Amino acid sequence: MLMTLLVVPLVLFILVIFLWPVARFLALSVDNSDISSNLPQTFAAIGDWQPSQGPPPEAVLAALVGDLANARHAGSDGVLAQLINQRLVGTRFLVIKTARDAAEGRLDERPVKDALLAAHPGWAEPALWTEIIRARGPLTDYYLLGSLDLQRSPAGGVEAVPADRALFLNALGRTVWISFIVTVLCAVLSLPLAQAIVSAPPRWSRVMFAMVLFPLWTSLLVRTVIWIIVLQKNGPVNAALVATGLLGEPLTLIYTRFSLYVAMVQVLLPLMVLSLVSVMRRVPTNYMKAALSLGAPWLTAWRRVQLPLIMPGILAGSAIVFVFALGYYITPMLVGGPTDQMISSYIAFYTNTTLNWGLAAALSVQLLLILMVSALLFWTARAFMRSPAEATQ
Amino acid sequence: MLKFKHSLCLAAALAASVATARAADTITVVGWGGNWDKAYKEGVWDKYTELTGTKIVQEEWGGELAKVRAQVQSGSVTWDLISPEAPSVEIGCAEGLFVPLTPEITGDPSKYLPGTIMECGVASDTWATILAYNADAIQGEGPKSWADYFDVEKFPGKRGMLAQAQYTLENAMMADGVAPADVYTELRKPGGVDRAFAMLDKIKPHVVWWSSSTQAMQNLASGEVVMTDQYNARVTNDIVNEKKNYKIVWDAGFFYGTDMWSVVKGSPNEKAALEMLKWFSIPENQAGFSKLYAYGTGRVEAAEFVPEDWRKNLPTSPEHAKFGATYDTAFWVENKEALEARFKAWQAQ
Amino acid sequence: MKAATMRSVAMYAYSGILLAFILVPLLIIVPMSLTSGNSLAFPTPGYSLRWYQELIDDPRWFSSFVNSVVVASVSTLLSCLLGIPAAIGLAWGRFPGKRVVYAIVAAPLVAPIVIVGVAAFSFFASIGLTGSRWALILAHTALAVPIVLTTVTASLAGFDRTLVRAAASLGAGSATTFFRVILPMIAPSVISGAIMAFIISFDEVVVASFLTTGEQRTLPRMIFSGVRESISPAIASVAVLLVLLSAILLALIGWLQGRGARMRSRTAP
Repeated sequence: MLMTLLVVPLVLFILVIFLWPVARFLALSVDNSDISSNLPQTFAAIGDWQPSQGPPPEAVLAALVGDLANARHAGSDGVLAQLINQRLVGTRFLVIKTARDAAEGRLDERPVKDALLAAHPGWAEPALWTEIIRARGPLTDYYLLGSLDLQRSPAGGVEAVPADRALFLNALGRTVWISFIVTVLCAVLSLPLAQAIVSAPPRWSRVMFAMVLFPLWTSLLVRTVIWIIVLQKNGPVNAALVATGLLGEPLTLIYTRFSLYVAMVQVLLPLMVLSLVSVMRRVPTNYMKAALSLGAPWLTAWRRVQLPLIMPGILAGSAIVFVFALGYYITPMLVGGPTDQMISSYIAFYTNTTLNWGLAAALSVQLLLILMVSALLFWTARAFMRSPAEATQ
Repeated sequence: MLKFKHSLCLAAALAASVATARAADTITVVGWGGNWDKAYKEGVWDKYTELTGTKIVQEEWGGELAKVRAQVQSGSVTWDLISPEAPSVEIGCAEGLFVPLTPEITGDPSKYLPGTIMECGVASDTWATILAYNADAIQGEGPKSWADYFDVEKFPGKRGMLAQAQYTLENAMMADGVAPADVYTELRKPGGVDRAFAMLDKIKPHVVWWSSSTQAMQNLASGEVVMTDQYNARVTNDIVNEKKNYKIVWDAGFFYGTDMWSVVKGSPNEKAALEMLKWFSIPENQAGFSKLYAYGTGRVEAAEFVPEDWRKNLPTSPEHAKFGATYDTAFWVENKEALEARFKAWQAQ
Repeated sequence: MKAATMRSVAMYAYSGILLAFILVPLLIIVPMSLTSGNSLAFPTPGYSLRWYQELIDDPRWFSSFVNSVVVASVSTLLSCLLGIPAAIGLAWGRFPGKRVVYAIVAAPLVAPIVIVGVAAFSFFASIGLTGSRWALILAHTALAVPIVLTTVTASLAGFDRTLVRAAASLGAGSATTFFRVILPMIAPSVISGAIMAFIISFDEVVVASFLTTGEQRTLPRMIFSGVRESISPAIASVAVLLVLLSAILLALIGWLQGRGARMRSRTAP
């Protein structure tokens, strides 16, 4: 009983300070309350009316003026205007200024139609009302569709956005691709090093292990910044290449996909080595020796005997590296170019520059889905790999 | 047990230092960072602190109105006086994010240059985005127009370009032969924006993107790029202070915009901030910034306090003003979100 | 046999190169940060300490350093206050749902950091906590607590619980038992965990960039905005100092763990 009580504060803390905020944020990807709760009377008055039936009825416009006045008093007209402008560009000032006039009593006379349409003729546009009617209800699929480069067609179906606005499928694909390449590079590069750490004499093994671990506890930002310094045009790498005569003039190494791979591999490699070493230490060496003594060529013996035994370590390391790489933000932002940005930087962009929380949340949902699916794949692969390997032990 | 008590004391001490409230006579001023902040500090704020004892904390931002809105809506405003661009002041003012300013604070509005005083803001500075090149990197005749900037055959070498749609689309239109005054008319026509992007397609492989001026100026200095778009004062600063052989091509055409000072509604030190703005509205006090940084001021008379030979570096000086046009606030208010997303998509293609 | 020798020579040579790839960048900035020039060119035109002097002279660097120390200390303290009891509960307690508890506590470790930052920003803004250091401290505690938990849990796994029962049978209350018996035994791993928690908070930049402004700006945050402007040699000098700090703290952990292992072997029955 006491033991359970000891755990409670921590669990509560993580729930309140971490899981609840994340859940709350992700929920914004389907949340439509900034529109629906600001226009309650309008939606009620609209009922079955469609823009195709002609101009908006007096009741709808009167309700709109009332809603906008309330929104103004609540300070939520700015967000409402921004959201409507996202759906139909060119309506921002229309909404804000109408709200201002409504709140200051300039649209009080009835019928409101003449006064409203005279001061703000934009409200006669059928396209605007189509968008408003579509944004009815407490939930929306607008952001989730948008995060996959999709939108609602005028008829209500789902269609691809115009090619010049398609952005996110490409970015999601790039995120997965960069993470995949980094994972493969880490695995291939780490194998011999991990083997060396395992087979070296204990003293050397410890030293090498410490050398691998050290960068892991050095600031990620610092390691990234260092790569900018090292790879820049008048940095040491270019200086060395030019001095040795390998290059006539300095290369552009920084702000490219190449520099991104270099930096990410250096940062993530220790994690791969760590999980390889922990598995390799448990693998007995006599299988390999037996295979070699039976006359198998070394590579064949390694591929057929050693590799299956250490596969769980490779998969565990790859899972860690891949999952971490998917969420990378600082490194692509600082050492990559515009074509190397990963999905996290778009999440930050929509949060910081446009405060489009819905889209940022929808992109986060996509990132977390990719993350969970790949974790599941690794887990399945590992469960599948383990059985034959463990059967031999 | 003694140790435990000791660590509790330590915890309490740390907690207390965390919770220390900011002093009442401290104003948080949010500017554009780097030398801009430095010039404001040395030319303007330090004088005010000396005069009144009010402490001024400088912060920098990128002009994101969203951040102001987040503060105002959550009721936890930490910024007092901020410098947004004019379009943001117009939106923010309409939304009620900023405190409206009375002539008692700003002085007579008719004493200001057009566009430098608004309901909720007075100009902090008037800047221009101009074409600049490194005369050491280009032999013979330099570029004369934005068309030259887009012509890599005539002028080989990389171009520095601001990594955003705003200001860049205007340059592309000028390169396509549109006069500055007509740029927004053309951009508003159907296919107008496509025309700008088609122009940008031509130069894309030769572009080195920048997002901070310092980065762009370093690229110009190192020869990474031979010409760049840039805020005029950054170039002037390097010509004067670092004796660089850069040239500003004013007559290629340029756009100018205004940054404003606005007081955030619900700011913890609203009164002190308004008091400081009142002091800032005195022409001589404003000029403190223009003397150090080659941007124009709001009040017309402020120019009198700027030395004659320095005045020619300001975009508002008569010899340059005729080649410029002002940024269209309304266009960017409505289109910014959509066009920046399109620009990002185009960049990543 | 000859082929085997060549293979192992090749393996060690390769390992040397790869270790150099991992470590040399951390070292090469040391001479670069000592440049006497205005920019970070290589080779350096001459050597001086001027950029380290600049760090001392510019109050913004110093105050951001102080901020980082305060934030990291308080989050470390909170991580220990939450993490150590939970580790004891998880190691010794028998209750259903332990795996769920582990999953919940490990969540901050795997979540993409930008999502953590944005979510924390929107949450703390909604309760009016932005612009105070507490928001960052609480968020950093969530990120650091899994490390304290795992380190302490690991050392408790090798802990002989008869000692606890012996203390209780001699009439010691649970507080006395904790401070006199348990804490001294697990102290080395508690301190290692605390140091790691400190490093995590001290180095964290993404959440800090969403949650802090001006006066509360932490050191990594300061580096981050500096880098986006331009990479001055001052940034290289901060980088060197931070690498040095990590090295010292890690050496401390290594020493403590060696000591912890010796202590456990001495008291083992």
